[in-house]
Amino acid sequence: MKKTTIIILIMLPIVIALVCLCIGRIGISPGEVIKALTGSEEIKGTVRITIINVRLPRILLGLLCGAGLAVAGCSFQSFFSNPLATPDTMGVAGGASFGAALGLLLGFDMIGVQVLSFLFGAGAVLVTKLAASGRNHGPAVLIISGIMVGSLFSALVSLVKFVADAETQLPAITYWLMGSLGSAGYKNLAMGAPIIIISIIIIFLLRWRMNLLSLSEDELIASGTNVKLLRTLVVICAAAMTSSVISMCGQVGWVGLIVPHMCRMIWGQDNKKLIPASISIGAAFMVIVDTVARSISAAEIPVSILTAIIGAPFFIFILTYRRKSITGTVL
Amino acid sequence: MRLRTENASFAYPGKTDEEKRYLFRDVNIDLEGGGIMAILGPNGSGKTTFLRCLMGMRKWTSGKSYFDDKDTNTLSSKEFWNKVSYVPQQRMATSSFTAFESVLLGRSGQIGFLSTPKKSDIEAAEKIMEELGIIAYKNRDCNTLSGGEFQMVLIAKALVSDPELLILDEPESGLDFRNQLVVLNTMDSLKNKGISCIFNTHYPKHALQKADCSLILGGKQAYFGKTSEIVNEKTIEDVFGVKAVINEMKVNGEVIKNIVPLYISS
Repeated sequence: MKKTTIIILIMLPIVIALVCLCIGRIGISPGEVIKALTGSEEIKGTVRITIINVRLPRILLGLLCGAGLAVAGCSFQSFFSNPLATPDTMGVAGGASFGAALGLLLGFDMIGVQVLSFLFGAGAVLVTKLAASGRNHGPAVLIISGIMVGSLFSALVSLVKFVADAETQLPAITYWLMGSLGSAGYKNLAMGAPIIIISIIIIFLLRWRMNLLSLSEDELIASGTNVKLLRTLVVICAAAMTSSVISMCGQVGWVGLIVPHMCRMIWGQDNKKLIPASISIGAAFMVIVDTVARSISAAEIPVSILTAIIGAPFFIFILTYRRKSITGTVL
Repeated sequence: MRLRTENASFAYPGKTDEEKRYLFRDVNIDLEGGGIMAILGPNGSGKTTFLRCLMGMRKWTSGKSYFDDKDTNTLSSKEFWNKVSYVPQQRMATSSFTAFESVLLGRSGQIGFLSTPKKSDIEAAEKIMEELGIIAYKNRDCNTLSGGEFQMVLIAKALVSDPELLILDEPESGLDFRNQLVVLNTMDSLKNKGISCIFNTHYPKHALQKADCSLILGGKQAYFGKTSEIVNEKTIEDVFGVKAVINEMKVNGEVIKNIVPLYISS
């Protein structure tokens, strides 16, 4: 990557975040935002509280979740050597949602919810991988397996909702499942952020080596790389990021498909470029979509509705027009 | 570099010795530095399996192989693959990495687990692509390359790690007249640099013209030895059931062998 590209990729989410800090029910000028962020005394209390306690944690959560979901998407695409593999299509999001919903039902705290969410998310990947294992399957079999695993878990989520107390738990679970960054607070962030950040760092370090996973099994052996370790690290990080995001803000779908593919169109398939680009574009994308979701109407729209409205047609677009150029094979 | 096998055999599992279906039995080869070895045999005679066992991707049913006089079972995969490279049977590219990105993947043994390619790796990849005459399509997607072009990318990917031994699985299959020659000549120039090659082939002619020694699988016994001594009308008939004649012609003072199949004899 050229130096200017790197600078643009670093600046993009920062600039977007600053712009989005200004936007909301109360319009705040960029000057005031910067003063509030730097702790200047000239700012009115309400403005400061709006910026520091309401918008900033939410935007930080957006940056983190966007980057996490995008990197998880790239990682699953490498792990399964399938360009349509994402947390959503591999059933991971479904598994992680069920784990989190179960945690909420049992009254676990945030850490417990994340752990349970991770366990079911990682379990879902394994089931999908096993269901689609075998030599002569085409790539479509993997997607079908993933969708089946996902639908199994969505039935289990319904079961959790059915069992949940209609007065107290059900509204909480339902609203959380719809996917929203509205729950953002520093306490939540402090518990979800480390897992996402550590996973992103590990994947970032492995980014070039992940390219090897596109090779055939024999070529992988001939590369002399510790393939088991590589695969394990990639899939654990990807599942951890996905379940951490889902624990914090529900099932925000499709980011792991849209962002990596936007980046592939510009930078090609090399993960060495793709991962940094996805971190940057993913973070910026999520903050923009969330800002639209919270400011387009008087009542906030769940962000997952917007990502799905963009994501599903995008999936069909890739399936129809970009399949050959991305995979070289017909699904 | 020295590669040997000792009574190497491979059989599909069965309870008793009779139930086991042997692909090949008691194969002894000995290849020393800088030679080209061809493996011949009909479809299903175990050519690819032999290579995969040699590389540790499958286990011999019995027998052993030695790389530089060390039992390959005791070698770590890193030790082995630092000196050996593999060009798999050519297939369509399944990812659209560029040719250059693909070649660079061959350097993974020289690049730290958590690291990315350094300047020296990038230069090595450019150098080998230059040498093989494929630098012109450096930035093209692999799945837009022709079969011949992609095969050369795979060979470059194998050579970029500076191996002592190159193992190629049917490298010239499915290629046109000219590209077959490009691949065969590449093996010749590797030999001049002291890099050994083992290749599977369906063309006895290519073994006769290029290989110093040959292994023939699929007959009553496995034949191994100097190509000029063991690839002859008798062994071809035994293994392939084809009556063929081998003739020689002189071109510019050089003797070139050719083989022409006449009829199916059994």
